[in-house]
Amino acid sequence: MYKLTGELPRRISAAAPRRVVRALQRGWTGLRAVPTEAIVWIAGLLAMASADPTAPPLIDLCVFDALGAAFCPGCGLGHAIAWLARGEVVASFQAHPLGIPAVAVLLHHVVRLTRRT
Amino acid sequence: MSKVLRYLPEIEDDEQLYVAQLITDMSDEQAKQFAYVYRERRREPIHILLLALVGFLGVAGAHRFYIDEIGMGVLYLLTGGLCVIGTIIDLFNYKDLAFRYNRRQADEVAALVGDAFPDDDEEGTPPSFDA
Repeated sequence: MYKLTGELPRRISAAAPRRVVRALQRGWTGLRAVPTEAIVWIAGLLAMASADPTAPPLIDLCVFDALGAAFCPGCGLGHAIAWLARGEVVASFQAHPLGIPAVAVLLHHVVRLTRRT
Repeated sequence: MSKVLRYLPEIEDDEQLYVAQLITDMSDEQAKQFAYVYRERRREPIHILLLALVGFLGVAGAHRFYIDEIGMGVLYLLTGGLCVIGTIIDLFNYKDLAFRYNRRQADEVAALVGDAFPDDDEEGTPPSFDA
């Protein structure tokens, strides 16, 4: 036991920075074991799922739209995922029929990515 | 590392390190066979990048089919590469995609070679006909 009075226990103060560094290193190694691509897909899915499907669009990421194309095969996927996250399967299908398969494929892909590191 | 430089001089980066580690304990004969088969099976990273670029012409996901990721390939194909965003991600990601595929192939080829061409000392033992 350390004495409660007096200076800061020397052992702790000396070891603390090293421990922090080691914890950070461990965390970093653990993070590096997860492939970047898996992180990208999870982040994307979470961003889509947390968006409000009824709100007007904030930003338009669609390149087809930016190029002035009349039709984009992927647009509506974000809304489909957002509706799905809220349990609205019919609304999800109406937003984009491929929303549900897309989530399934992406999750399967992420599992495959992280299984072998 | 010297073996990989001798038998597979064209590979680099992570793939080189991985293969070097894989073949370091192989005999020269095995390493030669490994290089021969692996060279047929591996995917060149630059080809994956080029196929990903084809996605901008409207047919996205060819590079995902090319590395046996059929599900992702179909998804890209039917959604225009997730509104082209997925295609752009893969332009940054193509080396990882290639390495992932090549690593799997390297493991398989190493197992194949290990089975088909046993080590010299194992080969040297004649089968016994005592029984």
